Amino acid sequence: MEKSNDYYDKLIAKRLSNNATQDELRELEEWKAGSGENRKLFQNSLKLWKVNPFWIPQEVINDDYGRISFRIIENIASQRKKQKIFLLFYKAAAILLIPLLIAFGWYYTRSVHDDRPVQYTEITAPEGQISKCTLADGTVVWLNSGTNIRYDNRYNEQNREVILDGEAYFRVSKSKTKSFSVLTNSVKMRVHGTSFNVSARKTSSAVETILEEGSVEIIPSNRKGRSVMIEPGDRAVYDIEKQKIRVEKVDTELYTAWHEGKFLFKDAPLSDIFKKLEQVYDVSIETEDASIGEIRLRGIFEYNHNIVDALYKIKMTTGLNYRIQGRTVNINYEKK
Amino acid sequence: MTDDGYILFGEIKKGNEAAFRKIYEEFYTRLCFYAGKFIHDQEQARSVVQEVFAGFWMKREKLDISYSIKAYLFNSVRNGCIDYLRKEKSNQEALSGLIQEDSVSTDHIEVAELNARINSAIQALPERCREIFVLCRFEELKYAEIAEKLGISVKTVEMQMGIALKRLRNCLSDYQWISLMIFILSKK
Repeated sequence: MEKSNDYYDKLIAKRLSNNATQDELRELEEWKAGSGENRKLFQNSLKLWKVNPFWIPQEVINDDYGRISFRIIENIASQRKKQKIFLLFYKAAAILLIPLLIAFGWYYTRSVHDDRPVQYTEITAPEGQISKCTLADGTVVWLNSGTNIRYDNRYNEQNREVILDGEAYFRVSKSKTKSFSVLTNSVKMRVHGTSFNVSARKTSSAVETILEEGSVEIIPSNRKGRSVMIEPGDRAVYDIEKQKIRVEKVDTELYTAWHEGKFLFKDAPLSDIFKKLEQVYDVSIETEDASIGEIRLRGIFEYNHNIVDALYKIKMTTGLNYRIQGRTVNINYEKK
Repeated sequence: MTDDGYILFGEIKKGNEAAFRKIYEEFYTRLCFYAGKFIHDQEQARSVVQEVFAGFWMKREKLDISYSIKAYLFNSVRNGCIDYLRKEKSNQEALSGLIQEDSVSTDHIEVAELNARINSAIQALPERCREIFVLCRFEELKYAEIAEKLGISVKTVEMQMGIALKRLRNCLSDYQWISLMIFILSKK
């Protein structure tokens, strides 16, 4: 009976992969000798078998595209870093200059009557940057990304008052006579020598205060709400709409680490982390699958590093992939 | 350059990532096989090609490719391989071979294209069939080992291997068979 071509294909494959028995090899030789057509079929199979040195599966091809994106981002980031050194120089100069100007202004205006017009000094940390400044009385303020503070030219005369929009960490220098206050849209905080963090962004429905040292009194500005004194380790959240203050003990480091150029997460949902990254790096993060936001994570990211480091850390721990396009970051499960 | 390539390159210049991806899909495997001729470590070969693509994207605005994207990419990969081999000093033979040609040889390009063609034909095999073929051809497992690993009979492995071989043979056109011959002949 004539054996089908399929039969000989099996035999050829066995021969090429060294799986054929002596009998099978002999059978194949006879078949090859049978016709030129057969011999050609065998020759073609042999060449085909040998020609590819390796195999690149589709998943690898897809992954490698991601690797190229990563190389591009890394390269661009390292170019940016070079530019940043220049920026840093200007920033340092500005930080040194601000207190000098204030001191000078204070010296200059001291002798003048108090009916002089009120003039405001305004300091802003642009999106994606943290600024640090020292006020005339030695109080140090760290401004988180997108924050601005204002104070008038009477600062440090009878009292010390700053107006805050955004998030700032204060290390207030001690003074027995002059109280220090932070004013936000909805509350006033009166403090003495102390370190604390206030988050009062105009877009947020709450004002959050975290106290590390000293004492802070939170006074709702509509006067109906009662004022509350908080202690170190407290987190006070003032709900603007309900006009209520809720106080709880927290790990303050989680809320204040940003002023040291870090941000810490201990078992936080990714949705919180994304919000933070968006704020800090001035990007928008998108996901296809809402459940991604519920994944919980712990870790430290450093501000000074670029966003890719943070994204890479997330990728390493969760396996989520990212794609950066302009100022938008897409984070999704790896596509198979 | 073909009109199509010309338009694509124009789009890439403007920063159109989809156009870039298209070029990637079209050339990536060929270039990897081309680099693989000289750099035998597959990972390293791919890495050289990735660097070329990253450079292509970053330099896109300054690049003036009036001849062809394909020639640009092959030449860049060739240069990348030369740099790599110089640094590694492991494969002097491949290096001197590369330097001797002043540009990318058309034989090499044709073989790389053939490799890519076969690569996608392997990808197009039915899943089980592909798995068996890859284990046999690239992982060099014996039929019995494959059968054990996948929990199937040796008969099934035999049959699937026969099918794989036939399908792969069928995917090549006459023209490609000719270039395959030439390559094998010139190698001897």
